[in-house]
Amino acid sequence: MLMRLIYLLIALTLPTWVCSGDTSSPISASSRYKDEPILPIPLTITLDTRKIKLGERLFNDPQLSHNNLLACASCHQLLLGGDDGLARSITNQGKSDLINAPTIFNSVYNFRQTWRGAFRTLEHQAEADLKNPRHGASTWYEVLPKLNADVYYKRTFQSIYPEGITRETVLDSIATFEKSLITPNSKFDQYLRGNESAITKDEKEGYLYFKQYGCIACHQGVNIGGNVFQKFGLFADYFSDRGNITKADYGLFNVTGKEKDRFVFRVPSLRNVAITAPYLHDGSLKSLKKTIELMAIYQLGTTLPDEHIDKLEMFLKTLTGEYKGQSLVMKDAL
Amino acid sequence: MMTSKGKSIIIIAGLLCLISVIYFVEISNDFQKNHNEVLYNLQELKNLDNKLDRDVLLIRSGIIRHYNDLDNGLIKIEKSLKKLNTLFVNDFSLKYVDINKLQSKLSKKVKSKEKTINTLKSNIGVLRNSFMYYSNESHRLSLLFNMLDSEQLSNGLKWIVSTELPLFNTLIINLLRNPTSFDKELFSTHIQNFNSKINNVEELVFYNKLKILILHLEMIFERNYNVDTALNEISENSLIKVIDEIQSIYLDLFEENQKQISNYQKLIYLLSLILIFYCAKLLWMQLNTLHEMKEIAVHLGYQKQALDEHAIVSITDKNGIISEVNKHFCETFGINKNDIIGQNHNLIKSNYHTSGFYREIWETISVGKVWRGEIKDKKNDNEFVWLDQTIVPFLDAKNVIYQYVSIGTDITKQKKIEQDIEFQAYHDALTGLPNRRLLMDRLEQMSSLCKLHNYFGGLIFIDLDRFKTINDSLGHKIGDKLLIQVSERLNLCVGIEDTVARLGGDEFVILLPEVDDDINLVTLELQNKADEINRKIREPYLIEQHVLYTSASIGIALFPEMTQSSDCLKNADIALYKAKDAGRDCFRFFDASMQEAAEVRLLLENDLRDALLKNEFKMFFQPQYDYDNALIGAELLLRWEHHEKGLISPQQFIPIAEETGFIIKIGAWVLESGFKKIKYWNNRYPELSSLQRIAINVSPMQFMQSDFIDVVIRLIKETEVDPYRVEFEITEGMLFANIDETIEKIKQLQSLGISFSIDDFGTGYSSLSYLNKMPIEKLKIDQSFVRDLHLNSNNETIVQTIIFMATNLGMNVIAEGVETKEELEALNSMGCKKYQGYYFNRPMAEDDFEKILTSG
Repeated sequence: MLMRLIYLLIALTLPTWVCSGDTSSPISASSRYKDEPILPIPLTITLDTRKIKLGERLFNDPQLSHNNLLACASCHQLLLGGDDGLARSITNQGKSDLINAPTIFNSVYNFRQTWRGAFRTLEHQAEADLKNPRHGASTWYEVLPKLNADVYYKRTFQSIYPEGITRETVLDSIATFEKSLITPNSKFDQYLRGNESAITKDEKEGYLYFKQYGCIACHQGVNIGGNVFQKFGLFADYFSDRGNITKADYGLFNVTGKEKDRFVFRVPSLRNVAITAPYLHDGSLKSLKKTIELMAIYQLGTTLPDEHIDKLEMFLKTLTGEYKGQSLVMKDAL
Repeated sequence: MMTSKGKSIIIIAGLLCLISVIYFVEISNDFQKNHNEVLYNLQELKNLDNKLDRDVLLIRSGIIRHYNDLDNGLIKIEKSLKKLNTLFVNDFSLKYVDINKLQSKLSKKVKSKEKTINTLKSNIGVLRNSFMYYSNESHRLSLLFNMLDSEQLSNGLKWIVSTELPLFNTLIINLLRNPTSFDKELFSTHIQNFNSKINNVEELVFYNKLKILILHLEMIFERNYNVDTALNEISENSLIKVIDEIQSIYLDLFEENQKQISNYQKLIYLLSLILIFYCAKLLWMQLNTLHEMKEIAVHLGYQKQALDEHAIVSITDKNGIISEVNKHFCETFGINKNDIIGQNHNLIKSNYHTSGFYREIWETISVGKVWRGEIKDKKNDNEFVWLDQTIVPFLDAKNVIYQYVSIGTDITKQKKIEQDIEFQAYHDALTGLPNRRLLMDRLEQMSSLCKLHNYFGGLIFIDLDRFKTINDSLGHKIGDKLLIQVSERLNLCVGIEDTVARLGGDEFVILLPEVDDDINLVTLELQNKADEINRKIREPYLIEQHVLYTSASIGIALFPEMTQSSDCLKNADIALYKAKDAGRDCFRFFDASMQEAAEVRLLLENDLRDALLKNEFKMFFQPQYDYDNALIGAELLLRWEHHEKGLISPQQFIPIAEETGFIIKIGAWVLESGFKKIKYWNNRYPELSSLQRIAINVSPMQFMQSDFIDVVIRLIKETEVDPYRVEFEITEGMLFANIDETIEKIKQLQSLGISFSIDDFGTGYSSLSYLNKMPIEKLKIDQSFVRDLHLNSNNETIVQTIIFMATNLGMNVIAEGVETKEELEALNSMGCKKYQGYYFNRPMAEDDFEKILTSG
């Protein structure tokens, strides 16, 4: 019965999705986004502000690492677009890490965390990094006494959580802080909410290409990605072209051990993409244009004309949002 | 008559029946509630799954083109499932095995559904993309083909455009029409065919485009198959079927259980009936004894009346809830009887006694023993009542306590007298201050506490100068009033933890417990305290129209010492006599070295003010080198050549200068002289490239001055120094004190050309994460990490991290305190190429440094 219904629906809607690039349908502007494949980020998120404040302190506290050198904020810096601007982050031994650090912004909207999508929740991710020998290299036996020795933590935890400082409460406050890190009100979101002049004609054209070429197939929804797995190198073999394959390149395979998951990654969010260079899981590209070009070849099986790449880039730049009412900006060159 | 044992058995049986009835009623309530919730949750799961299937449809059909609804749906299902699992666990009707079975069955289904949906998500967009590409591109190719002259086109191309492409169009329509019965073999044969035909295409543009077209065709085929399989799985493995199945299993189990419960209930009703008959019989017999009881009660009444007249009586149940109090009780505690009954006895607990005291009472009476003693209870927040109390626990036939009776008499007045006597024993009658006895007590306590915590405390012995003269000339009355005023002033000088005691006559002692753990700071604190006392005592006293003046001699000793605590007082006394010998109105430390430190400090503080005028400050320079042993700069270091004491190290005088605020003047002098010197060298040796920058230390207080930037700009103008030759060294702590303001200041100074480095890096608040916010050019690795770097792996890690971080952020690193060849090599191998330290040069006077400049 279900299958029949499916085919019936496909037959009925076939014309719609063949010409899905057409945006001239006469719908009212304010409700436009309800039919768009991209949804705006909610302007506010309701969370316990006391937990946010506490979580922020923990997020910036190097005591969560064994040698008191790294904090969450070391690789996820709110001033640098929520990542560290490096191709690969720095480990607690001062060496280069295995993979590029993804942005912490809007991670609440990802269906899994990290490039390989290993963790379902922010709490899992935070705990895994605390224990990761290259990052925190710590344990709860080590961290909890350190926090307990701190008068601020002792008092604050007790005022929020009756059970005081425990694994669960530490993770809960960090995750609550991370959930507060959303970047609403980008130019494009304003456009989706009905402000026709929020983006320029060229940027609108870029969005049209974004849908027509099929980028939208994976980069959709509220986070413009982050909610689907996809193989990297659909139409050509990226990894043999690049060479020097490492274990980190195997992606989801490292989690499931299944052959079909080799080179499969969680599609990253394109929110704030203009300020989170370098790109790709290996951090190999610094230019957004180059990345667009490469994605078209490997993921869409097509080559884009330069003019279209330019417009696509213009569109992507409208995705930069605001944190605490301030528009995110490119980091200062030191 | 029945035996008491028999009675209690009946009563217990009756109670058990009653409890069972209540229990079953309660259980069946809970049971029903839980049961309803399970059914509701199952229905909710069905609804959620329905919605999920609907969203799958909408996505497959392209009406919705994002996956947020799918993800939210899955999260909701997971939540609902979690709740259902707890409901199963709480369900009395389910055995452990059943719960497990039900839970795992559903969880498995949900998990596999989630997997399928993830597959669908990954494939459906790719399929749509390739389909779009294929339809557009094949259409474009045909148009292009038609526009060209067919005479000139290769046969291969003609064949493909006229035969193969239309064939594939048909195939794709078939594929979409009925994916299940689609002939895969046929498709792959055609693809192979197509692939081989392409080689006959001679036009390169077409060849390339066709090659890509094939890739997309293959993609359509593969992805359509995946999407189809996923949809099949979703439709065949519907959650709803499993939910229905689980519901029916659950309902069966529930019904079975319901039957069992109703059997139990019948049994219990029967038992209850029998018991009611028994009780009726029992009641009849009891009525006969009632008359006898009445007579006894009258007698007891007389006794109670007598007791009420004399004592304060309260009765509580076994949990301390008050069930009865007498009139006396209400009068004593000022409480209405109706207000107190039903309250906990803790209401009048004063918490005056230790928790051990209360615990002891409880441990005595809760095992059935009588407790007697004196206890302080609370009347209200301000008033207390002392009772001489007896608490009697009452046991029932089973030896279980069922109530406590407390009988007490009010002894508040006696207690007050006792306490006054005790206060007088420990306090001075004239001033009300603690006397020697109490002081010695506290000293002993504090001394052992300090030993435990590794802290030092201080004892300040105060003796009024010429008090005897006042006493003799103006009389004892005036003398006593003076002592009272002195004691008041002393009390104002100290904190709440400190003790001011009067030993007798004009001798006072102040006990300062746990001042600090650093002996130097203790000295300083005590010195300041003694200073303050001296000052306060010196102020005039107005007593009965006389204006009196006096002063104090003070002796100071520290504890704990190696000796007994009584010796500490003696030490302070000895120090006091030293102060008297020194001419009174001053203080002396017992410890010679502390006295010396205090004096040196005082002297330095005075001399420091003159040092600038006397031109006693000298600039020293410590050269900095790179790995090729080339001079690259120097750090300017300040030395004080005291006219008597010779060279005084910065560690000694900088803290004093900082505390007195004199550091601002010194800092300005250093900036000015440093700038002048740099300008001078640049003029004199314009060709010297080795003199890149001279680093000048800037103290936090100096940097935080609001006019610091103006001062620097003025000095640059006056001295005409080239700011690009100047580097400011600041410490890590400064960066984080007022982060935004600091950054702003640094940026302003940088715009002038001055560069910045962080001194002693790694020792302060070194969360490396904040570093890139800082517009700093250079890090100075602290010498404590450089020391024996090649032998200490911990230092090695830290240094390595600092260097890596700095390099990544585009900062320079320089190591200070390099003393050996090994340290140099280790630093070099880690990537640190700039050094400063004894291995190269010690800090040297201006002229010596100039020699190095010109020689190299």
